[in-house]
Amino acid sequence: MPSSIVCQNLCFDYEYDDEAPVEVLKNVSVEIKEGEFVALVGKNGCGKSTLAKHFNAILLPKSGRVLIDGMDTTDEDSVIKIREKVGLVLQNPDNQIVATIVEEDVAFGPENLGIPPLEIRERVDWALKAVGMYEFRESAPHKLSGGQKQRVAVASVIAMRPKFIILDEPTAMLDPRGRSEVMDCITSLNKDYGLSIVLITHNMDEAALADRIIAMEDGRIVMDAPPDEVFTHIEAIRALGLDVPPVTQLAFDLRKNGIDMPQDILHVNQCVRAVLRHLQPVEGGADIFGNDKY
Amino acid sequence: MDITFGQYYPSKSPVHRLDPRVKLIFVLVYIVTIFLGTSFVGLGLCTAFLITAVIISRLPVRLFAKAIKPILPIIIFTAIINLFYAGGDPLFYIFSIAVTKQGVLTSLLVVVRIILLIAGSSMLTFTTTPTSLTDGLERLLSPLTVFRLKVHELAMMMTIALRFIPTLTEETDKIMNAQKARGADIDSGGLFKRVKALVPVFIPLLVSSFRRAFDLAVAMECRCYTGGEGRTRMKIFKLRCADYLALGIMIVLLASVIVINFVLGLV
Repeated sequence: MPSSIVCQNLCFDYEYDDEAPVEVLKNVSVEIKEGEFVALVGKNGCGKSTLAKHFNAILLPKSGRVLIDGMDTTDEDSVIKIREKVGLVLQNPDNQIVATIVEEDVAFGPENLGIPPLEIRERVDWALKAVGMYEFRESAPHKLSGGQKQRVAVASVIAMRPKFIILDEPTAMLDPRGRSEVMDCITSLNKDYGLSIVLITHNMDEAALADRIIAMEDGRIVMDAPPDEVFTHIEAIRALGLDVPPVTQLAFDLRKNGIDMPQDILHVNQCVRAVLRHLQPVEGGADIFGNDKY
Repeated sequence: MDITFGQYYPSKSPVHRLDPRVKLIFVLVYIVTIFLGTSFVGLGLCTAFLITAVIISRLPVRLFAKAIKPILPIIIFTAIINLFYAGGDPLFYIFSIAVTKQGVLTSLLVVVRIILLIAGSSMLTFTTTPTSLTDGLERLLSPLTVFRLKVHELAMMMTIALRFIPTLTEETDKIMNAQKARGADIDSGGLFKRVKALVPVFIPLLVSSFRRAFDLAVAMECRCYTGGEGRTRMKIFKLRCADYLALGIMIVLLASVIVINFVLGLV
């Protein structure tokens, strides 16, 4: 049976000592299946991180249920099994690396699971190769770049052989190069290793890489569809306080000005192709790439 | 920024490659041996051994000079005290205080002993990374869990502290620069003024450390950490030939010093 994360009528509020409790999740129901690549988007404070922390029993629902492969997160006996299946990567790579050597950190999870030493070694090597950090296995984490550290954090999670990885804004603190390193790593884990990904992000270019986008607002799920469908509702996305990828915006603006552009443009190459269709080749001229093709 | 933890001096010498547990036991026994060695012959043996170990470990001698330098005043002080308080046959007088032959001998002995002590224990920190030292300590002390001593938790705390030193150093730098950019004067003035100027550096540092601690706790929970129980380790510590050899040398050294002292009664 394929694995799944199921939330049923999930409600959660943060309670403070002297103030009224703040409702963060309001009756959220969602299902995430094995092999999916889901982007979870929404404004700050919309509850997306809180929802993510329910997926591996870091937070427990006030009412409703969260089931991982049928195991209820409130059942204390299955917490370890749930966390083995659902790994969580946090925003700041510095705060989630435990050990002083890269491979020791990756070994930390499997060690906690009580796996025999030789198998831990195998898993560590596999995980480090999967994220492309194998040659840094003996380095000290503080000598790595942000993107490398975040990839180590991802390796540390996949070394536990989870079915799902939840990434809570993993690229928010990284420079553009670190971002693309981490995003390449995440997409490869999904496509090549079949891991399910739940990516929480503000960056719509990153969200566009997913198979499915779930948008949240004020503790509720307001949109749940594939990216090409989500980004056709540009005004609705804007109303949520979110951006659309720049190329999608460009296509939208062109369309508004009477130029026929498809509605499902998400990536630069799609946009280039659509624009090229409108351009008349000039005899002896150059194409947009500067090649003397015509 | 490159921070080398503690005093570790990287190299691939045979001493560096010894099992940290063996090195820990060795240093302990070595310290006992130095205190047992009440004669010059015994201490001479210890000195000869230490010099051989330094040569094998390929450590530069200046490292040891650096290690001994801070405690030089203590060495001189103990030497002088021992010089005057030993009693016995007077050799000569300084301000009508007798300096005896025994006094000179004891103070020499004490000086040699302190130097051997410092140099010997420095050998451990020069040749072992803090990480493997913590690892070795955890494994050596693990039988003590029977007495409810939280060995694993202690070792974990040491590891995390070591792990966060560079992170927090970097952060301190950032905060200091940020405060300087806001016009804070950190580097000038008297002691009191400088300490006061550090308050706006340490408060943000403290706050952010707490935030990091919360994050780290979540990250550790996510990775199924439940304490030392039921945990396995990736690294297998296995004694090699060199380790057994080192243990053998240790026993021979201890035994010969005991024989020299108590059986032969050499002075």
